[in-house]
Amino acid sequence: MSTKIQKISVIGGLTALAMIFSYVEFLVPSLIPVPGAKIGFSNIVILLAMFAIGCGEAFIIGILKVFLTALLFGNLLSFFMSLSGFLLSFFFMLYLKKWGKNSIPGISLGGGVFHNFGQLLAASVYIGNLSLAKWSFIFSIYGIITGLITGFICKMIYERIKKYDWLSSR
Amino acid sequence: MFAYDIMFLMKRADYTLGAVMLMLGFLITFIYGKMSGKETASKVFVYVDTKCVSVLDLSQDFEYAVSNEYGNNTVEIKSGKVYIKDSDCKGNDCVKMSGISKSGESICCLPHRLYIVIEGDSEGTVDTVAY
Repeated sequence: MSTKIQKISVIGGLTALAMIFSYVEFLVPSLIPVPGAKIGFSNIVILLAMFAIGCGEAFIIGILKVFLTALLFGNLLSFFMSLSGFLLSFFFMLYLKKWGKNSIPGISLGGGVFHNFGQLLAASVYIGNLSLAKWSFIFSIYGIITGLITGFICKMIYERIKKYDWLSSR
Repeated sequence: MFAYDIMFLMKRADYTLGAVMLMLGFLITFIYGKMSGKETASKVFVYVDTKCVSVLDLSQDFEYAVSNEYGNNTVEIKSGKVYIKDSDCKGNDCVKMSGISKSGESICCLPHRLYIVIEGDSEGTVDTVAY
């Protein structure tokens, strides 16, 4: 059981961490020749918050990260792309967590794929036609790979920190 | 927990989920490919004096003669590319130009006020989105 102050400070710290991950990825060029393709390390923070603290807190961290990152480093297009990717991936991960049959890497995998789909959706709305839909197969493969990477990292961290139950909101 | 036992941490539902995600992506690509094959074939627009005189299909091989008071040109569409095959203008720059095949590309013959442009949903959309 945690006090309110503990919860607020943990949320603030994790939001800063997610923003730093997002910024560092923005500086490092992507490994595959798709513009803006990233591993998505900030998903580790959100997923970890979802398991170690609670779903509502994870949503607050994610939405704060999207807004603040766009305000500091991004433009309007990148804001809408990351917002749509975040919302889609978060609610899909929430659904998978409630369903309860998947482990953390699996949930992260689904979230990675749906983050890519959300970004494709926002980009399709921006350019005004559906011609980007032909990339969805490539993007689902890429989402599976990056989702597994972040999922395994998240699992390793979670195994180490789950004994600190003061993080949990329950 | 060590790195080598990490593959055993994945449950059966995770593999199923991965397969479902892969199929979902493939399905969207496949359905889009089916849909776009019928509707959004690229069109070749032929303009004379800024007026559109003809709209041709890029996917069909075709020869189209443009004759008017400025002169004669023969437009040829061959295996998805548009050329000007023959022209009786002075410099013959339009004939020397290589064929066009992508959306937004154009050939013009200035002495004959002829302008040919491809419009439609072919390659080239990614370059316009990349920033």
